[in-house]
Amino acid sequence: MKPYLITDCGSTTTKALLIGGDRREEARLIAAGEAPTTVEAPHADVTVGVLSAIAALEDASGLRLRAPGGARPDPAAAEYLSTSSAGGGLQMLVAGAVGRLSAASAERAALAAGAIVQRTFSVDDGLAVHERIAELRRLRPDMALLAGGTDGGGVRHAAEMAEALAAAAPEPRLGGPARLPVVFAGNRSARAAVVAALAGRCALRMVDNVRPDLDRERLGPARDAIHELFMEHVMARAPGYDRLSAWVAAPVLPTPSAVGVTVRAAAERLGRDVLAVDIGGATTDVFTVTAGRYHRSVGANFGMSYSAAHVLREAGAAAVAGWLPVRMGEREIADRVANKMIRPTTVPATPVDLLLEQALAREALRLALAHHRRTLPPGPEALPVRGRLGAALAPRGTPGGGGGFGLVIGGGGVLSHAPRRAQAALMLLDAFEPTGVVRLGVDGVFMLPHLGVLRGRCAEAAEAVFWRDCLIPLGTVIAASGPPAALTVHLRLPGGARRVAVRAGGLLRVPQASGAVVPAECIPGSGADLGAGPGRPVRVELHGGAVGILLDGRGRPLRAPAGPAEMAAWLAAAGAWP
Amino acid sequence: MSAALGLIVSADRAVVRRRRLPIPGRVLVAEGDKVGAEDIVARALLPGPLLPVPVAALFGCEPGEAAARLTVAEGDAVREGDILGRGPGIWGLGAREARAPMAGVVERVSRATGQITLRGAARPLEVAAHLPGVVSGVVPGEGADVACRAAHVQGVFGTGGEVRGPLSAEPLPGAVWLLGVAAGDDLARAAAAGVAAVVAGGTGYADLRAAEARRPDVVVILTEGFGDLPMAEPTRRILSAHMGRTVSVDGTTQIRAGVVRPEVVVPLPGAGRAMPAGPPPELRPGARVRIVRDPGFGRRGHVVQMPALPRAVDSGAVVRVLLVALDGGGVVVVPRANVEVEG
Repeated sequence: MKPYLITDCGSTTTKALLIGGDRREEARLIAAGEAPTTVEAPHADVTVGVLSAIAALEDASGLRLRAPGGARPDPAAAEYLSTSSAGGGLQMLVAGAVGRLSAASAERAALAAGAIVQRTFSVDDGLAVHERIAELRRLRPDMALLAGGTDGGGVRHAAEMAEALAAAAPEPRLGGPARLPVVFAGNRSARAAVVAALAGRCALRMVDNVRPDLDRERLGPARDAIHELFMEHVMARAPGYDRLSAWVAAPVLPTPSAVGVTVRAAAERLGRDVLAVDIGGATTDVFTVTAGRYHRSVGANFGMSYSAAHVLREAGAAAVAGWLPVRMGEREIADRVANKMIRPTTVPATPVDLLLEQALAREALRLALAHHRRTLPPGPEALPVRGRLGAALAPRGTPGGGGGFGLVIGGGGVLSHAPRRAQAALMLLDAFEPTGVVRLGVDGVFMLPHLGVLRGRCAEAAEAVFWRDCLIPLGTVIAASGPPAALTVHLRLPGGARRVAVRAGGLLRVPQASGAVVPAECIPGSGADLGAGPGRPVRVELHGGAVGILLDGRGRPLRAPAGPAEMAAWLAAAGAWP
Repeated sequence: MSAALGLIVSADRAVVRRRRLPIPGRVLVAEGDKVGAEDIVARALLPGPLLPVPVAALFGCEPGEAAARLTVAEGDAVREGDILGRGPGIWGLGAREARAPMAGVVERVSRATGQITLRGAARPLEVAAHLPGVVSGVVPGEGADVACRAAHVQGVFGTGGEVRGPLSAEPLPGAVWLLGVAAGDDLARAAAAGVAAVVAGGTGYADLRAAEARRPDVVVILTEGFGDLPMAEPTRRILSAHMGRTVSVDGTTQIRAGVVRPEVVVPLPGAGRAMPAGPPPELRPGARVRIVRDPGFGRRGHVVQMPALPRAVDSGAVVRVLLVALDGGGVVVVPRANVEVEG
């Protein structure tokens, strides 16, 4: 196969990957290179960083991937693709008629398209009309999505929102002579009123209603229109994107949109629900595929550096302190976290600093998941609410397939670069409280976006690289719902049967290497449920990984550790500390 | 990950600040003009506030019928209380009027919603020079560059916006209070005294939050960070040399893309004959660095070695490191990401 050269232009780093192989189904990651993103001054040209990242990739691989002169990727050497969230990604404002109906659907459509939603407006958003106009004017989005009303229903609310937008006349974030792109995905009958208000002021695109009736949501047309306008308007004005767009063999995708493609494919392949998380410096993106339905949310202020202090405020210093195996006062926690916020690129050099970052990450992940739960579309698929916060979503892994989360994927520096993989596994367990039998993995080098854009060109190669090089298996967790209870597992290992057990309230790690698949019978203690009913055993296959098999007898919902000694015991049992 | 470029701590350098209007306007100065810190360099008119008036509801008629009942049209100027139109009432009885709730211009009449939109009078928006100096350039319609020679100290974090006042070792009304660490109730004392700004090495994050809760626009600049972190000696020495002199302070801080750090600018005599700033310092053997995370937070020294290969540090993280000879003795291994290069 012809190799693929793929870049993701992130907000701080542009990462280039080279993927190739003799056959598509056997494709592998050949090499990676990265360089700082250059969308802002002094370069103000995204392609400078792209070419630097490709140069680093050339150094790593020994291959020549740029055309003679080095001014562009060489199409003869590799097919070039890219995703981008540089320069703040795709920033959108969203407006609908009713906050919980059309506005919520419009927001989900924007998020599914990979946007950062700056704010969602609705007639019941609590703002007076003039306040709404002032706020609309203050925001400088890349694009607006306007919805409102069911098809054939009243037109007034949609018209009111369009008029507010017209009065505010928000300027596109990247300036220039072009008008703000606006997608109208509301009541068909309101189109004339929307045109009357916005024609000549915005680049208006009409698509099918995101909420054609009260019980139905249809996000696809709005999502597709956002992608098209992203390429036509936003990318065209971002510094250097005109050149980048000319180099790629397929349209540049917003990074989160490409991640969504990969997560959906993983769920399809497993035939199970999948949860993926990308915890960054400013935000935490959560992606779920449940019963075939994809949903993405952005925890806009749940990150590990820029918004670390916000996480601390939301969670409370006591909650963060609860995840530490050592005592630390709340003032000291606040000062350390705030120092990370103001110097976001520093790294924890002491064990205490590392453990504090991981404690904060648990709370950021819990908050992001609680937010994800709140933004899920209504319907029977709505996921169960669990957890200490009372609003966290519990990924339920039911044994034997057929529903429930089968895989949880962690991404982002604090998870992917944890010095010990067991630390990443325990962060995922403590934050998400997966229940049943669930595989855990991390995206070691954040390849999910690259593989998403690749999937559109060569699905077989994207599939092969995802399972071989992208997903680093951590192992499988077995955790019952209900109060803390003992858990016994009979493993059928190649060398013979082995019985392992954990006491109520404890954790046990059983090392099993990546690639190992162990048939097992799992027997929960009295009152505990692995998905087959209280106390009933389940037969499953357990996948090994960098951590192995984790028996979690701590119960669900998980209670906070009783003190530093118990947290130290949990960390030690998982092999995460000391 | 490489080391961050250090914060500016300079006893004498050229400082140029672009003083820009947020919307197009008129520039009031010309290149070469001498300006004082309080002088206005550019002025614009902010579009007046928009106020929708639901005339259809006031008239008691359908949205599409309201326009025909208006006595004003798009573009008309109205005074507060002027009649905008009259509704039919019920069976012609009790006809209702709509009056202008404020003075302004009728910007839009909507048949879809039955609203008219009034725009109020424009308000002036002015930008001061902030620094005393010389206008070194003009951006037509936007603003001007003001240059001066100054002692210049950037902080790592700040709150509030621009203020000007005399540098003081005491919390005096209108002063910029310089202290090593803002501990205990120092920020509360500053607020009670009515100081213009506090410049300190460090303070507790909880204390700063409490100060912001008392006064959201409080101007505080931290040169080191949060906690019991005394001001670095070079910073303290430079600022202490100018006690009593009026300084220009800006607490504006942006940590994300397009980083903006807060600053204290002490204009020096000879404004207008600014010395050109040197090239930014590089991370290399011999470079002066400051450690900005534990262990050794706040300690300074110089780079003695830059190993090419990543190395494990005490946290277990494998990262690129530096060997730093500390002032006062000893050599330590520090992640490159945890130092700032000093100028």
